[in-house]
Amino acid sequence: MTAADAIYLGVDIGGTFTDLVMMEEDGRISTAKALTTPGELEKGVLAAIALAAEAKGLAPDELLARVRVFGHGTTQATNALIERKGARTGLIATRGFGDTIGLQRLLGFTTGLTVDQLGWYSKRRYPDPIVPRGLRREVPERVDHAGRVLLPLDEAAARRAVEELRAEGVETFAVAFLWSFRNPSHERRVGEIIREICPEAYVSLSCDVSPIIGEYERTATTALNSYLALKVVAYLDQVETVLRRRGFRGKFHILNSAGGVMPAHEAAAKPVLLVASGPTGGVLGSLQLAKSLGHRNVITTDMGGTSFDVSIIVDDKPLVSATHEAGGYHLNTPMIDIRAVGAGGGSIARVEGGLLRVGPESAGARPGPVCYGQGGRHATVTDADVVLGIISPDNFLGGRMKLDRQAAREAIRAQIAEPLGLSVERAAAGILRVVDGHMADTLREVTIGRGYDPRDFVIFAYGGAGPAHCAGFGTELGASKIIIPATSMAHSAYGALASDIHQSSERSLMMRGGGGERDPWEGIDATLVAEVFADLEARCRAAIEKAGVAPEEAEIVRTADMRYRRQTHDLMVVFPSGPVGPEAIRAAVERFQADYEANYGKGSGFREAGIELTTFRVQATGRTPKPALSWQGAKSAPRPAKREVFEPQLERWMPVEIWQWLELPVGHHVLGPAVIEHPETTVYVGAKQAAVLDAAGNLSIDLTETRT
Amino acid sequence: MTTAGTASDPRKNGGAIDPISFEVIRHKLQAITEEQAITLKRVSGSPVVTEATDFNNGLYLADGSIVTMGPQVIFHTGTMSTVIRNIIKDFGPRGEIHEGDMFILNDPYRGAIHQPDVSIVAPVFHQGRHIAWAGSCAHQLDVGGMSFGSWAYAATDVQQEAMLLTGLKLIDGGKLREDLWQMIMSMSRLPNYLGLDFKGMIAANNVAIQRLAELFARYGVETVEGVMAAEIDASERRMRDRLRQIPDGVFRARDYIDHDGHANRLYEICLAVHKTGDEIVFDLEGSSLQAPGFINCTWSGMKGALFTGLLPILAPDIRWNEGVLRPVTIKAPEGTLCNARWPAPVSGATVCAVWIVMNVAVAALSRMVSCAPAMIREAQAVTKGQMSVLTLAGKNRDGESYGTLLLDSMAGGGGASIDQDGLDGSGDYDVPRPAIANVEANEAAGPILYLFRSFIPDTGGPGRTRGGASTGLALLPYDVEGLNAMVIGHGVEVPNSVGLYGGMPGACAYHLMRPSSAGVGALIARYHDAASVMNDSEVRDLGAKPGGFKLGRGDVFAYTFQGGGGYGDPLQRDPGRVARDVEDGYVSPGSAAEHYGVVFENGSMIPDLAATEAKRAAIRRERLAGRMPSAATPQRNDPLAADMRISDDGHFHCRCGGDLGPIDGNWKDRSATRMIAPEACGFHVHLHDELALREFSCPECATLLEVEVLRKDEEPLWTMALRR
Repeated sequence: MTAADAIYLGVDIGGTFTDLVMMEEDGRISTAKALTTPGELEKGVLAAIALAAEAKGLAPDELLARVRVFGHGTTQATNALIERKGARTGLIATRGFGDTIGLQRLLGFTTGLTVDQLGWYSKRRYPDPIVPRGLRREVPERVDHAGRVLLPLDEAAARRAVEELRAEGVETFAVAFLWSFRNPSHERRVGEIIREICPEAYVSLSCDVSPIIGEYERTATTALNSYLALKVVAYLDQVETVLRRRGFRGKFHILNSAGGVMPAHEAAAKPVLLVASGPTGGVLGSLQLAKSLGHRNVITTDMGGTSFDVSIIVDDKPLVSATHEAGGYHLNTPMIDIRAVGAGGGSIARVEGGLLRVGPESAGARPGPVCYGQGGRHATVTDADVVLGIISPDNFLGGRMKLDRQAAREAIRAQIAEPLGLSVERAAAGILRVVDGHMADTLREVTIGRGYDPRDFVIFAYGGAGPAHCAGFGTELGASKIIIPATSMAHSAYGALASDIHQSSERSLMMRGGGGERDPWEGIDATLVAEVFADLEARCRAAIEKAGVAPEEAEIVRTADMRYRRQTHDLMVVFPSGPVGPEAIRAAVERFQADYEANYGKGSGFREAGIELTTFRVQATGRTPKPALSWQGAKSAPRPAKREVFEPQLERWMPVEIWQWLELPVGHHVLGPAVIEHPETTVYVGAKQAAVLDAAGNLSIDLTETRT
Repeated sequence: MTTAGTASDPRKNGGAIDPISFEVIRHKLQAITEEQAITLKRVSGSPVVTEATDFNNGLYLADGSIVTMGPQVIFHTGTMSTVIRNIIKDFGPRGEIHEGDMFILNDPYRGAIHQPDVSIVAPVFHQGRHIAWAGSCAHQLDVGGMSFGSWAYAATDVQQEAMLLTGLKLIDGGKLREDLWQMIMSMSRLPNYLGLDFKGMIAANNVAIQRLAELFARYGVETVEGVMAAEIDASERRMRDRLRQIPDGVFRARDYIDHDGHANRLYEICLAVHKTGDEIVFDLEGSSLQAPGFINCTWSGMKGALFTGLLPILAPDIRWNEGVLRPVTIKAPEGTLCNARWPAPVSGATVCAVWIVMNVAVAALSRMVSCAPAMIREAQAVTKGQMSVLTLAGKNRDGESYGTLLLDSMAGGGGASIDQDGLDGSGDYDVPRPAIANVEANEAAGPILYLFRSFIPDTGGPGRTRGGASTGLALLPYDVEGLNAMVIGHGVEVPNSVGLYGGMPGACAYHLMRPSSAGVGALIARYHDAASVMNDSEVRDLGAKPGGFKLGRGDVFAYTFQGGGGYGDPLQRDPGRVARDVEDGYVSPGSAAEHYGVVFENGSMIPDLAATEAKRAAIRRERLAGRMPSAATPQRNDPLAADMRISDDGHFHCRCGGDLGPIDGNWKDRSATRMIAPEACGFHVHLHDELALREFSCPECATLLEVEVLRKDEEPLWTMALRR
């Protein structure tokens, strides 16, 4: 393989489609889409590779032989969790606290519910347990908050517990004791005992998987790690083996939910990091693209069939949250903060008490909207798009799927228009206004709700339904600019391709500073902080090196979770680079105070209470070099087609220009109202808006210039 | 950019707001209330706000009518609206409500539930016209008075209990009144928390004012006002539609509270729900006279408690605002436990009288909706009908002062419903989204060590569907010489979590102390579950309201909470499900036999079906005083079939066909009834000296139809009568 013909692939497996993005050494990118085969996911991967190879006139093996990096995003872990198809996992806990994972701090039966659903008590359910009560064992032992042993581990009891679980047919083990991140000796000893008795078993210790304060989240994270392990390990092995057999000799990277990719062996050791990697790919793809376009503040929006996933990038960094929900459980692996609401192309519209409602119920991909003709009977957002003429029934997915516009019209007429006494078109436009309004309200909540002004952000719109709706929700939000990435139809796959190697390491250690008249940084032991960071950093650098990036090329970010004492809100505060001494600690504490007021309002700080540091984290990013994006646009402007569209803002039928994305020249302006079609997506440019194609193939819609 | 007046002019169809603009604006009003809550939670440092979500926010019309409210503690339903109405009454006539003002109030006789619930409300103006109110309310950790946490268990009148803010202008034309602020802060033991919560509430109100101003500017103030009014009307319409689906009749419930702070006297709350057409009347006639101690509540607490029962049962899918409340009338004699007369002490209201009112509302309304087939799923046995407050105070391990209100006591059991077991670990009924803190978080924050926190077997009320299991915990002072503890609760000698249709009550609560001078290691080894404390010969039962006491080094305090009530006759529970409960440890083999009549094959977890049938038959005969049932136990092919069917002949019938008499008569007159011992309901069911338990069964098939808790000298309650 010569440098000049190297190829980079990103592949993301979704529920319906397997998406592929290919980048060549000259920066050109292309996409391919294949159907996902449930149960045989590697089939879709190979089919997508075959499509990409065909487009280049190569055999799949020839293409694979040239691939330098294969980045892979997989929902394997997520699906195993949602479908409860993980391993039979046994959990060993401190005696007296084995119910921690069952009690879930009482959070279990409200996870994922919207405010509207909270009052419906008869529908409350705890999630199906990942470790049923019969597979939990308690062992006498106790460590205190300072790591002192109060009750030595009862090794005989531990042995009995392991034997019993083995007899129960347990395949994997999880061990989570109170305060084990302060003193891991009891957990480690139990780990040894398990390996002695069940040498083949996969074991997760909470002091390794998640050495963070908070026994419920730590236990859930550890248990989930073991629950998912077998599926994820087997799957990754299988995909890699198939690729290698077909001539692939490059690096195999897996997208995680924390902020990048990691080598497959790392993913196998910490499969819990993959649980929410699905929507992360798009955010990371947006991050790389935003960097190359020079946008430091971005709102990413991924509108698919059932959900609208939003995250924000501030000063080149995606917002990370320390805890998140997955499958009804709460995990404390750091993860890119993504807010999902039930608004998508499949969101169902209905009339209730004379009022129009849209979502959160969704027709999903199956049966899907009425216009898909797969048995869907409820009018959806996509049906409204089709009725309005925004989505062409003949040119959906490049014409591969014919849509039934008449059926969509009929559904909206009967279910929406008649009950409201509106015309079908106005009803369809109303559905758009309502769903776009909800999405704009969500965007407002994630920005303004966190102290940011949405006008300082550029919106990135992708996902199946995003490009058709961004003009609507962007206008509603009052944003100035929307970018629809060239890879918007496969943006998660692009994220898997474009992301850097990412490694994180963290540990809780409670420290206090200040209080009363003292400065809040006084009393924090700088030597100890330096030691903790040095240890975490060394782990990260070693992992980065193992992934093939020179350790000195790793970019290191050190953070500490800080809060005012007696308060429950932590902020992840970045430490300045360089050696950790009293000056660095003072600088970090000052940054905390500033961030706190920025987040929670002026005067909300509580300096006299003093400061608490709870968890120290190091993130290492290993830059993996990739070519800069480029785009070969058409030479001259083609002539657009025309079609009648009911402009949803102006509320009237009008002839609208229909352009083809792949036939646009770079720099060409498309004046709205207009539709820009692509074999895999549809973009709508609203009235008084203009879209332009940039040199990397992205469309950008300017919302500030009102034309006359 | 599109702005108002173009295509989105909502009033172009002849002045009415089009349904699409309505939905867009309506969603924004709800988003404002969510943003209020986020703002308050973020600024507040108090776990009562951030974990227990004991706060609420909302938007109100200029007259105080609720437009939106948050999904936090729903006792606050309508209280802020009462607060606003009192502010209007006091300040309105003097012309003293201006733009930029905010008012503060915690007077339970003027809208608050008890003194720690402080409300701050702000009028919202547009071009000089008063359009609306924004309000925030949060439970404060301490607002002064004779006891830490302002739980004045020794009080005899309201003046002793806490500071009393009767409605003061805290912010005057945008300017904080520093003098008032100083005065209020100086009356609290925890001024830092108080100050942060106040700042949070002010910030939340400011967010609402600003967002409303943006809405007015964009859509026009008349449009937004129109949407607010129409939103209320829409909820009212849906509520009335729903009520019309329910047969007219009277539905009653009764519940008791042990200990009034001074003595272990028993009080009761009686509720009759009269449902006629599309209206209901709550009538609390017959409730006990007010107590000399802090367990009473005022009208606003009673109102909040009644709506707490009403909203999840009758309006789970209707947006909660003034419209839901309009079809409801409340009647309660003054001077009673639930409508106390000034200056009766009320600082314990939220965990005492209010709780009991909520219990009877849940029980009576559940009976009511169980008569409407479309709503039968919403009928629930009582969820954790009790509350225990534990505060700990003293020196922290670093010598600084320490004080906390431990909220683990939310982790009781949920009430069962017709087709679902209650939640094992449900949280309190008044909290739609509960949370408790990690043990590690509590041990990091203060000088305490937990010995266990776990589910307790046999705490869920037996039933065809089982009540949810409760939890308990034990802790001791750690790293310090000792701590000052305070415990107030109830439900130690009253099984408040009653079942429905033969479901049995959940376990009672325990407040226990085991004094000791043993070392920590020995205590950890010894007390690792609730049984190990309960069965200890030297353990002391502290009773419902021990008030303050010292917890010395080595002294173990343990408390457990009520489990949920069961639903349906436990003898009809599938033996396989009982076996699974035994395997999971929620039900002991003893309870399986005693209460469910399930017998296992020797030493196994496999039910012996023949022995089980025999055991169940024997229990049924006992119910009929030794007589053989004349009808077979009814099969349940339809899981949603009502246990007492309303037949075409105008009679209630058991599922076996047994006639329980005319629907407008007292079905209990036809039933087989007998007194039973508390152990017959559950091993953790305990009774106050004045209380008894009585069961009512179908006279033909012996299916258990109700287990009633009642005073020994009282007639059984006539629980429901339908109009013919």
